[in-house]
Amino acid sequence: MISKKTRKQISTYFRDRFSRKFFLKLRRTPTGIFGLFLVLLWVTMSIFGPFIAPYSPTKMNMAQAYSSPSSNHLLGTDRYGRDMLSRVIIGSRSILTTALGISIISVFIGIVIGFTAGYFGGIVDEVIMRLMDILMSIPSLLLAMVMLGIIVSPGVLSVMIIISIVYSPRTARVARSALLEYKSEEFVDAARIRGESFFHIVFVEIFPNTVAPLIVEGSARFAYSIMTVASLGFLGVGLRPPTPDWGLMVAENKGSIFLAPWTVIFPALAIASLVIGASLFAEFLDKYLRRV
Amino acid sequence: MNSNRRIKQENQPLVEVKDLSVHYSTLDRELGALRNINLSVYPQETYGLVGESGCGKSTLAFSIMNYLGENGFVAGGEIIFSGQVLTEKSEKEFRAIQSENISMVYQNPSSALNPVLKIGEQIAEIKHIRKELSREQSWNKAVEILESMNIPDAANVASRYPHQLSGGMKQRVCIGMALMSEPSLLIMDEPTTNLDVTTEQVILDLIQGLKEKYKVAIVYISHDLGVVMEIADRIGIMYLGKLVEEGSKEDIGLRPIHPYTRGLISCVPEIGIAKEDTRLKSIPGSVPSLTEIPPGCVFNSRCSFSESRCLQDEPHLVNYENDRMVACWKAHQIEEKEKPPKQDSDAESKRKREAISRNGKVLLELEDLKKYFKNGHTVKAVDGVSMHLLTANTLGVVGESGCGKTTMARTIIGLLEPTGGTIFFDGIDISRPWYKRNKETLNRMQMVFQDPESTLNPAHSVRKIVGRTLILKEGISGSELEKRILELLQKVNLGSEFMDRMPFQMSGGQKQRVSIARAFAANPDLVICDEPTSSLDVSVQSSVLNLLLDLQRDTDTSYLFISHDLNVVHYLSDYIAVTYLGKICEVGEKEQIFQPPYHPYTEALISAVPVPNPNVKQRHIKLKGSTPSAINPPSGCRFHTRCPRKLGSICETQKPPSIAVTESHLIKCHIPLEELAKVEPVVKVG
Repeated sequence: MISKKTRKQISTYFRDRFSRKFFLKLRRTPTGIFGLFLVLLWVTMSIFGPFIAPYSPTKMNMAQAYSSPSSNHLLGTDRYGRDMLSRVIIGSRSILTTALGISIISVFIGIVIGFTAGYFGGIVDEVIMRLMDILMSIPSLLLAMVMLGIIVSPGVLSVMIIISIVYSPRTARVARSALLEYKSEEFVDAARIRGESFFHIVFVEIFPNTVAPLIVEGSARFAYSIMTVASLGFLGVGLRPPTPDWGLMVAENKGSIFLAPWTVIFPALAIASLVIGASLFAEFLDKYLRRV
Repeated sequence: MNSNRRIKQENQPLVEVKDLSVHYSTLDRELGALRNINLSVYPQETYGLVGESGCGKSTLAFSIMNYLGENGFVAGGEIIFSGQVLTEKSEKEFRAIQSENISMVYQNPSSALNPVLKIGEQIAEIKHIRKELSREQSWNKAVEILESMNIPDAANVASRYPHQLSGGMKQRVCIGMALMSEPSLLIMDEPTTNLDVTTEQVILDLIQGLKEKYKVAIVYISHDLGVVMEIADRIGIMYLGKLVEEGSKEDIGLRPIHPYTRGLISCVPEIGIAKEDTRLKSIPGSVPSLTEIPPGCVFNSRCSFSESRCLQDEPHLVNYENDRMVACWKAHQIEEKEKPPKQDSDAESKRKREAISRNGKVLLELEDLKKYFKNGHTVKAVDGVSMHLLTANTLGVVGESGCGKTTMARTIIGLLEPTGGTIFFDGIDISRPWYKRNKETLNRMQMVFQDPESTLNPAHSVRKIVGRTLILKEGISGSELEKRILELLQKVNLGSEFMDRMPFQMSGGQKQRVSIARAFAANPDLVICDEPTSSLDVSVQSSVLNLLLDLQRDTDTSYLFISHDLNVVHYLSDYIAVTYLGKICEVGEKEQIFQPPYHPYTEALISAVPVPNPNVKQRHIKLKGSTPSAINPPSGCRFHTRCPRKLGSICETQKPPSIAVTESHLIKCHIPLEELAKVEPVVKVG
């Protein structure tokens, strides 16, 4: 659907926005740098994890069970003697891909719903957005649990899709307001009196202008979804052991929190650092893109 | 002028700005917004500061007010206020002096007033916060000041909230508020720019009167030389952060010296000048941004007198003659050349026009067109408009804001669905919205929009914006498309380098040219222009108007030209329709509109047009109040609430009849034609 020229234009658009100024601005925002650093750290871990991790994350060694952090096991071991450092490093992979998937899918659903509601307005808008309000009024974790509970054995994909649906009222609101901002601009009127179709007006004229707020919303969803996925893991719905999932790790070891606190603290710290990093960077993106 | 000299000789200047430079720091560099400004304002004089947007007028005002914002700072020079060097004072001392002596009136009265406080409270608090007067005394003082602003029923207005007042009324409140602290200097930053012309005239009259009464000096900032001419004693012209010329209003108006001043004066269509008489002068290019200030004289890139010296050395403001300062190396040579004689009338276009009006065929015809908006109550934005437009002709539609001009344009083009009446385009009934019209009709009718910031898609390049219509209409692609786009850009005087520019890389004038190219890509028969130049700087406006004229001459396109600016409409149009509150009150050939008999509203409009020429005598007509709301329009003749020539109850109860002055000239008024014909012309030259 997107022609070569459109692609070129979108890329020029991005080049202009993510140019020298982006780095100039980033340099002046310490929280932004810190956030980007944390995110990049975990991205590196997830890509090069197998080379960095000293042990296999699933290899058991009962003789070494509950050993406290030492030079052999930097972050100690759990009750099966599995190396915590390796588990945390390898665990980053699943959480990052899940979070990325959720942010993309939820923004996509949001665009479809929000653009439809915003463009047609009137009764269509009312009905869709009130449905979204109902969905939003249910606590997101609860809603996700109920929906996951229906599925017999949820895999990574179903977790992604369900959390995306839970998030879609928020992304739909952002997409709708971004569309409304441009809907009454004169260039949209110009397209109308040229006789353009709905798809041309929405996706060629309006969509490229809404990319910035959608990226910001996507990155915020990314940060939130880490939290949600980890919480679901902790509650035991969603991913199943022995997957090295951070939330699952905390849940598995919560019984031995006094005996071997490192088994809980380090996965929890990993979750916190990634959530904080992603949030800080999302906040910076928001400030930067809103100004351009 | 003599009185002005006397003031100067007897007094020390009230404010003296010496060699002032103000910089703004941005992400990657410092921008010099003001560079080495020298000027003095004497007690009780009005000093007009004129320049286009981005020339530093407001920055100068804000540096006197010490309101430069987070990233602005005084980089050099000093501001002296009645002997005290403000720039050397601490923040606290500066503020103390300033709050006692200097007040400011801003451009937008709606955001200058606090929406949750009553008008009276806002004004009164100035006195009682400083404990000068008790709460009650200061309230009384506030009412008193409102009365002196010619606000009827001031006591009642004082207990109202800002949203209950009209724009002109709010601006009067702001002026009153500024005068409450009895300042010796009043700075006004474009105080009438957001107001309609008839309201503007009332405010200007008010300011004139206040000067006498309150004995304040006024610094009046505006982009409109005509307005400043009316009100100022001395005028300073600013360009790119420099003062380029300063002199009395007579000197500036009649003998401008600096090429920029000359350009500013000659690029505004003078009252009574039409396209057949002369081509508008324009200043080439547009005001450069602060990041690309040219070396040497700041104006060199746009100056026709520029020579090698101008490119290297920066001219400073020097005494040219008594009370006259000019910053130009070639001032003396320019002065010797008399004002270039006005060009001969364009005989060819005149003949062409006559031929068309004789055998012209009707292209667009509106019959009792109505557009109502229903939102709880009915807003009758367009209420029974009938008029027609001939091929290769221009019909100008003029009226103040809220008269339904834009709604009418949007209904004709199909963006809105008409509530009643018919639109005939080339004989075909097209009274339906765009999605129910056929492709051919859509192509034959194009529109040029008002706001250059919103008319082009910020995410699309010029190639795509202009090319899209060609692709849709002719289905061409590749090198042929490329060739056609280039041709169109050439037509609107843009080079091939604009092909891949994005809208944010262009100035307002360039964007409007692209928008015109987009309209002409479809080879239309009718182009609806909705205030296409009203957000452009005056020097750019004239080149866009010239472009529209050239295109019309080449392609025989008809224009429906909508504007609030009577001079522009008169210059460009063949026929003019004057609208008031959704109805047409007068329509005719443009010469007929500008000569008696007038409709009383047309008369008032013409009298309110600012004229930057001290030789032109203009009779000012003050209209009462402001345009009533279209939700509940006055009965009978809609203009009766403000009409200075109202006959009596007949105007309130009966719709005015159409008086046919000639076959093409209609006036809707109860006053008999003989009476209207006796009215003296509003404008006299000489």
